[in-house]
Amino acid sequence: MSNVPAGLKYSKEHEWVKMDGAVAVIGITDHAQGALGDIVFVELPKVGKVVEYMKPAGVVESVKAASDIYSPLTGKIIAVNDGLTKSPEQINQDCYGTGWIFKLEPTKPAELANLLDDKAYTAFLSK
Amino acid sequence: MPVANRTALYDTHIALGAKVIDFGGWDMPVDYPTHIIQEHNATRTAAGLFDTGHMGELLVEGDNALESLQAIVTRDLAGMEDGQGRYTLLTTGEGTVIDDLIIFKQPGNNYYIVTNAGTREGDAAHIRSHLMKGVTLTDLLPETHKLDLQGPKTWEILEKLCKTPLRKLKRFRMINADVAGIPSIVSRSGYTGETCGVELFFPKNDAVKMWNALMDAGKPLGLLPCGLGARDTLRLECCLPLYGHELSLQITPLEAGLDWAVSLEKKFIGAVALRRQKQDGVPRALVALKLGRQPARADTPVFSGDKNVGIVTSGTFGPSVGYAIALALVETASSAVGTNLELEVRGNRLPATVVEKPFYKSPKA
Repeated sequence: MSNVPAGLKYSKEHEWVKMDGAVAVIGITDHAQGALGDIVFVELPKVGKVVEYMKPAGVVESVKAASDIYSPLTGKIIAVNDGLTKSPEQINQDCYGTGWIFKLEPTKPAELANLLDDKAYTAFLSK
Repeated sequence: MPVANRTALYDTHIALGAKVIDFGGWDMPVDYPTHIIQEHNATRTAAGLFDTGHMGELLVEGDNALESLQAIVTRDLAGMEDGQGRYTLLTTGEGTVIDDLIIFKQPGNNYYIVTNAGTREGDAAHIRSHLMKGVTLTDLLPETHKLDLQGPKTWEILEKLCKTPLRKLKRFRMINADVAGIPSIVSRSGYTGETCGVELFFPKNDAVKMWNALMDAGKPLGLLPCGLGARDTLRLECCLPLYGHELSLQITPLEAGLDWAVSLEKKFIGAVALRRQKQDGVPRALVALKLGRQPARADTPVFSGDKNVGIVTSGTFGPSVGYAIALALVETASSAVGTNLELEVRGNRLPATVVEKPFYKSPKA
């Protein structure tokens, strides 16, 4: 059973969103990091880049394969977790905390309603 | 779509929480909840147990067994002692590779051949079609299971289960021994590059018993079950070729750097083509590439400046060396150690340097 904290929003591509005031903090879920296995490299998006709802915003490389990270919201990226360059395994070890991937300012906050809460995401995982 | 094959340990892997993938038509564990890096590291520092029951075992018997095999494999098989094995290639008339094999001499005129999983049936058909009169080939897979036990704690684990002094077994030698009360063949061989390690061949019906006995004996010593994911990172760190990647019907053993497994003076299918290739100059070479942290996978194009000079055949992250590693088939002019090349991944050029093989060398026992 994977960890699905309350208070976050979730996408069907296994990203999580935490609203920190007007800033959205984004990462991938416990289910995703477990399915990927050991993460060895993260291709972070560039600060300043505008990303679109459910379009690829970066790449996570595990030992065996590369996987796209989709942005669960439209907006401009204002920060990326540079610590992942040296320690990509943070995503495996603490995916909701030190394993955060990027932060953005959402330009279409209504999109939050498209995302799942913890109960709906948990139900989605058990399908 | 034919149903995939499963080894006798499929349910065991599922019970352990393995992630299962298709490999050569077999449902095999790619990793367990421990994941690849931990399984890889366990093999290098303690021990790893690998289900390799998908691989093939073929027995060739008869007075003319040696002569039959000599005509179709690249290596000279003459003069092997009972229990001795040699790594060799099965080649086409063009000198390209049908499979890589280890062939062990057994008492009498018997040869025990270990093949890859997806190629076993093709190998058997090819060998059968070239057997001399009175020589037979038997596919032993229906009654045989194989497990690989690899890593520095191999002997300590086996000593709990076997009275035969296996620690004395030399590389590429096989002997009969009772392991966990199961009559087995034990060979000092494997696919991890580890100095200590064995392949265990035993009756298929005893697969679960053997697995459990090894895990019970080995767990206190740090033994972990390991999947094909760790099997791949371990072999790639030691630059061992994988059929379908570094070896194929489009690659010759000379291009793959396996000259030592080819006796060019011998008469065998493909010898003429290989002698000609050597004479003309082998056009491509398999090189070891050291990358940064970002991996490049098979089929990644390799550049020298603007020129596409080759292709990655296998690529991953090397947990024992701490950087991304790859093997690539490149034109010979770009193959010298120290050559700086670039790999194109998702539109970006990653720097890579040709280095000496292997990336990792297992310490002597």
